[in-house]
Amino acid sequence: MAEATASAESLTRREFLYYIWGASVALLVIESTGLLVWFMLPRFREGEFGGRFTLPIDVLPETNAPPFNFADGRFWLVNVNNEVQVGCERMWEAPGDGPIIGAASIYKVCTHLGCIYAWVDANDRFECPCHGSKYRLDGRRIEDPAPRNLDRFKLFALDENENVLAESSEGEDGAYNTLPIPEGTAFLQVDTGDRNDGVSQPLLTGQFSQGCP
Amino acid sequence: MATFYDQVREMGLKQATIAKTDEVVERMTSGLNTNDIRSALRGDAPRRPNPRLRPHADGFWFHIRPSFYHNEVTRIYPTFRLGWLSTFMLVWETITGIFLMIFYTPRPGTAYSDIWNILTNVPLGELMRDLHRLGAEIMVLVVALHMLRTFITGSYKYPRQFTWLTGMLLLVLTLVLSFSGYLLPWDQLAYWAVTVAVSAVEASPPADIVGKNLNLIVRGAPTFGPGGLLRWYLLHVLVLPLLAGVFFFVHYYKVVLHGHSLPPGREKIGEDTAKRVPKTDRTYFIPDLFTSELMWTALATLLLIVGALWFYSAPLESQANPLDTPLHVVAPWYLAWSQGWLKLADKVLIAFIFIPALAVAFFVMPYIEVGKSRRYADRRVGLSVSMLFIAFMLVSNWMGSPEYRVESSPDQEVFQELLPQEGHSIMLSVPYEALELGTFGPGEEVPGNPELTVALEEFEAAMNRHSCNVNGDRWKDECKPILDDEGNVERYANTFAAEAMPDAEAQLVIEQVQHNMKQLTLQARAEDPESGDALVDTNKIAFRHIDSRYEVE
Amino acid sequence: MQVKVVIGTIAFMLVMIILGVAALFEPAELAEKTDALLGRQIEKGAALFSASCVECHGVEGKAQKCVDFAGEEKGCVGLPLNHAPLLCGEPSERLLQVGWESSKAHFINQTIAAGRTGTLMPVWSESFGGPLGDHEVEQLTNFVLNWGEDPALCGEDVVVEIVEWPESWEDLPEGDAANGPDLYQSNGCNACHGDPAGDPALAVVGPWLGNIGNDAGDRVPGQSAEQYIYESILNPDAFIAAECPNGPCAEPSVMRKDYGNVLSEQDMADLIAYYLTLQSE
Repeated sequence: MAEATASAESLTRREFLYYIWGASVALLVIESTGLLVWFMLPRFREGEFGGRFTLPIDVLPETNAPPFNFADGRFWLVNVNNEVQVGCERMWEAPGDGPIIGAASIYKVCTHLGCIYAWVDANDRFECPCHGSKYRLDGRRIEDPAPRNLDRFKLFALDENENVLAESSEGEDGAYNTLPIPEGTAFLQVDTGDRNDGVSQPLLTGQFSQGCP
Repeated sequence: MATFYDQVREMGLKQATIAKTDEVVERMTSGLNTNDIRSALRGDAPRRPNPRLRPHADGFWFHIRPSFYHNEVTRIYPTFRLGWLSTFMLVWETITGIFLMIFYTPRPGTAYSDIWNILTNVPLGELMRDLHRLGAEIMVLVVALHMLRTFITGSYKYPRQFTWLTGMLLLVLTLVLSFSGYLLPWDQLAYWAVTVAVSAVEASPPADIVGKNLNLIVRGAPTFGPGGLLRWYLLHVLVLPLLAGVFFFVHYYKVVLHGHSLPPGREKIGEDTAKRVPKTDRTYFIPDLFTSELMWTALATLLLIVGALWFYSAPLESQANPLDTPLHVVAPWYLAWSQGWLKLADKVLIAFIFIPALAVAFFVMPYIEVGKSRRYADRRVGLSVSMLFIAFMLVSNWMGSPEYRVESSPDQEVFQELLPQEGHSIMLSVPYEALELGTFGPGEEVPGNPELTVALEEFEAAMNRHSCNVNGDRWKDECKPILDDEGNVERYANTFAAEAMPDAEAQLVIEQVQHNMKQLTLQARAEDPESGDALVDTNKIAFRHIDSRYEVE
Repeated sequence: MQVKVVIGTIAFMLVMIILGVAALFEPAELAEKTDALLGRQIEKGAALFSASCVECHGVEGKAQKCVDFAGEEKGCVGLPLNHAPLLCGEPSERLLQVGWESSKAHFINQTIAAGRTGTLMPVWSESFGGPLGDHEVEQLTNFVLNWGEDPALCGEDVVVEIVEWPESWEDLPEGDAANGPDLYQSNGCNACHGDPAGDPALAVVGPWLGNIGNDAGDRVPGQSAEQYIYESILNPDAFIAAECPNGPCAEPSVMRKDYGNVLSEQDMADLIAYYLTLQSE
């Protein structure tokens, strides 16, 4: 009691300690709010759809070879180069294409009604069994009724220590471009939580040149 | 205190039982014995000291309520019973909601079939669902009207500013409560209404960090799915009701503390006499207001049940399909204004600057508008602003509807009017037997078949709204060519629609596809009057099973 | 005050009466709504069917008139579904043939959901990686089962009349083998017998016909190759080939018994001529 009457202005030790206590409570509240936000954020395990998948570079197919099917991640890995041509429809250059060079991870679901399409080796293209949409190796539409090109996931090139060497860039229309694989890449990483829609380019039907259909 | 045995010995069994009963009644009512209750029911004046005040002092339930009100505030004006009605609706929603929870699992697929199970396999299940949904819409309306009334009578002014602030909080909670329940049936209506209404979340700046993560928290995943449904369910049945309950008591504590404000003209300017009620002006809670509230309870129950049975049917569309966005997705009517604004300006601007600023303005309004007088004549500016604001909200709500600025192609609009993907359909409501097989034109009269004839008249009316004449005279309106920059005809318009089908042809084809199911095909065709190319050549197919009962909806 | 008491009492009594009356009608109402729910599921199933199934199973589900996505007519490669042996009786003929232990509804549902390995029937349920939700598979199932409710298909007095055919193939008109490949596709022969020019293993149900031109004459002693083919199409149970590419052939035959009603005499002659050209060795 004697302390209280001593001075109204000067801060007593006891009052000071209360303020420190209060400040620590405020800090704790801030921290726990942050932790609660973290708690509520849905999380995707590495190697689970919605999360990231890290694959050795060996799984990447040769240039313009048939795609690598990765069922758990619901994507195809392709390696394309439209300046080198194989087969009629696999990567034949078409009007409106710039250079398309490098790797891409393509979402396995058809952009029409969500069917799972397949790579048909005999025809060198992706074909959807449900309603007959067809796509070139890099996911560009060849035939209807799909409304747009196949969607792609973000792709990273990692070195031996899993440091990022390069990552897919977004094109003007928001779709992910193919990723030219830099020297020294040991792993590819696909982020299935980061998917961008394909573009509505004109259909390729009848647009192939040089004797191709 | 004598034991019951002693009393029996003293007074005999009958008298002793009466005395004991009286004692029990007095304990249960915290102070009223049988005679006191009967005197209250008879309408006699209370004895002295007034025993009818004791429940307010000693009992839990009555201590929440004031023991008397000023006569002036017990009439319909100035409260219109809207605060009481809001509380009633909160209790009503809690009870009906708990009953619905018995038959509901918050999981996509299961949730949807659970609702169908409630409709088709739970006795009076449809009534229970309609009561809950109708109650939710009425509650939003009642709470909003309560706020409007408080503004108009100036009851937010000193000393009731904080009551207003908690009331605003309750309004927001009511809106979110109602809206969070919207998602639970997991049908197309629910899924897309909620999807469009929370799509702004994704844009909250900075979108890469806050927007992306906030979206994940709100939807439980990049899009609505099992996680999101569970989160919204928990919000709806647990978090929000709890918050609403807590803030209801804060709000009501302040209401009782300051007393109900008298009608503005009854007090001197700047005075607040609500807590100084002369003895002659008092209306006691027991028995007068208690009786009155029981009557309102009875009336509100009756109206809700009549409304839910005969005038209201909660919608249920097809199961949610994240891959198929129906034409004309709308937010619920009480949020349609926000959709109207979103059509006009950038969504970050609207959702993160304009709406929050408006909300803050409403919350702190009583601390800024400190004019002393509550009288209408002294508040012309304030009242005019409020009327303008209401008009603004009504216009915004209209802008939020598909009527404003969302016109699909004319053929799709015709199909949507007659044979929409979801909801009431003019064509499907024709009884199965009246759907004669064959091909029919718009406006055709089918002999001996009034139901189909009426539907075909609607067909003609819809075609009139979306077609026009260039060479022919089939439709009501002449075509007005709309030219593009180079002077070519870009499209044709009529009086009603910005885009119309020139010299369109249309028909309805009815075929039998299974022994108990028919197929309805609407076909529309229109050619470019200059080039002769097909402008429109579409059809819309729907099926009608003999048992599907669209006619009773 | 008395007025309030009276109003309150009347209101409560009205609520009581209204609820009582509603309860009285409720059982009938529930039954009707249950039927309506099934009806609407069938309608949804019909929409799904015309969007995704008519390409292989035909617009009437009879595998007779198939249209592709653009509305062009094409050959049917699926089995008929609007088909008495599949839908009539519990268990139906088809269930007995394949040895299905569970119900007909489960058989149809499972076939749609998981597809049928080795045939063109793809996976449809999203549980197995397909495009449709389980509820949509259920709607399709109800739609297919609804054909079986038709008394004209499964009624007791329905007799499937097979058109009379001449005893011998020699009474048929002149056959043209060039029409064969189209008929082979459009009548769905390839669905079971595979591609005569392709891998025998893809003839998942019936025997592979890539060498029928050589084999037909040796199957039944004393029967000419033409007569054997003729009889096998009209009456598949007359002779069961011993070996199918995926194990012994089923007995009795699972082949449609109503080709007599589907083919014209000219079609039959063309098919026989075509089959005789199929020689791989």
